Amino acid sequence: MKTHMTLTQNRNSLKLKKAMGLIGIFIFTLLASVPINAQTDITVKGIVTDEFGQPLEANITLKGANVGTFSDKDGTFTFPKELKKNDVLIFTHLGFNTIERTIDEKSSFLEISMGTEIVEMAGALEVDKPYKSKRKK
Amino acid sequence: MKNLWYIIAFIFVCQTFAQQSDFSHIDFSKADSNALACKDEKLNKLPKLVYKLTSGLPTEVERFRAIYMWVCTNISNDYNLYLKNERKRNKFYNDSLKLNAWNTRFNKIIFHKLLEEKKTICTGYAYLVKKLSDLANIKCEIVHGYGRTSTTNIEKLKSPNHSWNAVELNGKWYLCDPTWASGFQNAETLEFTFQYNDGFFLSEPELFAVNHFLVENKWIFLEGNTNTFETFLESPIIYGKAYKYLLAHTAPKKMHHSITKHDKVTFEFVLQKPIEQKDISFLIDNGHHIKKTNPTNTLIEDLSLTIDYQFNSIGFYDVHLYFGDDLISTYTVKVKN
Repeated sequence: MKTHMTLTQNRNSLKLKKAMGLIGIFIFTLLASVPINAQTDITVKGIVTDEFGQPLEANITLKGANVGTFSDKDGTFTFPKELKKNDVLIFTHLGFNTIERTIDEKSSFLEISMGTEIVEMAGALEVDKPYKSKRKK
Repeated sequence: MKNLWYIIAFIFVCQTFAQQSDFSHIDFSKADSNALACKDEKLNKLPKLVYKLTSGLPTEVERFRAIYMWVCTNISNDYNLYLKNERKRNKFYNDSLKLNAWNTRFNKIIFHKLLEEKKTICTGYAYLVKKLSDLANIKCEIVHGYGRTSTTNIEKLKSPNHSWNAVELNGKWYLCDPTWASGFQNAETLEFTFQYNDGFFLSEPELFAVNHFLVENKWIFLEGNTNTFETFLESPIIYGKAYKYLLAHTAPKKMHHSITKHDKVTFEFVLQKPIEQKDISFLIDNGHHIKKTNPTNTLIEDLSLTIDYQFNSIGFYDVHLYFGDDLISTYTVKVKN
């Protein structure tokens, strides 16, 4: 009887060990997955300048979403939303070429240099004044 | 062989630049109300502006319409800025270094004005339409060329004086002139008045070519019209209101005419919608007096309008054609014995 009980206890403890092992693996997997998740949420900071290195107050928007911010007077910014790999940030400023930057693990600090758009300006005006010939007086 | 090239060029004319009537099945009221809803938006958040302008619009042409309409109804023309640029450009015409330096400086001035005050000169309109279209993934380009108005003396211009847009929708290229669509400058007070003219949205290419001449080689095939710069300079002057009534200005092809007494000058147009004979009149200016008169003969067949006027006195006349109170076009006629 005693032997039988010992056997049953041994079996139970084996089952327990197996269960503990499974729980252990589960917990390990869970723990292991946490840092992976942390890697996919990327806080993006950076600096925006013109081609001469002067800071630029540009608009920064997440492509396809209505989330954005501005770089401040010294050109620096922190994007208000944590981003994922392959998100695209659009940097815009009137008079400068629009820049799109795809986010990856190395994108925690972006240095963006925006080139000036050179547009030759002209301006004929629409007038409602009737044409008048020049006549000899 | 030469004729063959003309035929090929003609086919290009018919196929390449298309017009607003291609989209007659589309109601632009939703696009226009999006533009109106964005009235107070600023130009420092371009993607947000585009997002708001284009939201809920299912077709590319409606999204473009909302952008174009917003630019035309929110950006005003700065005449002083225009004069300043013209003065400097003429002053530095023979000094390319100074001209380049001025252009760079002027670029900064113009973008600052646009950003802070929503004011610009015409390339600024075309630039903004392109910039916003780019963000909406609509293929749009700035086109430089010559714009002919009643007060510009094109013959004396040293370089192109006007810019507008070409936009690709459903695989076809269309023409728009946001500057002239937005309003007009009062010739005396120089003040700008917003008055949207829909005729410059996806304009009729043939009519557009009467007062727009493209200079860039890359558009030569697209433009397609057989106009040379000389024929463009000889064209009559047409006004913004012409775009409200006309599909084409067929005849006369020239602005200046020399005829003998009792000869007639014939005018031919293709209309967008029928008009009544009583609404057609001429103002004829002989330098001393302006006389309002009706055409000698008028023939209206569906959308085709032919009128002629017989000149019975010698003299030199500025001849202005009106539909109702709207000035359409101007010609000069010298009548000899």
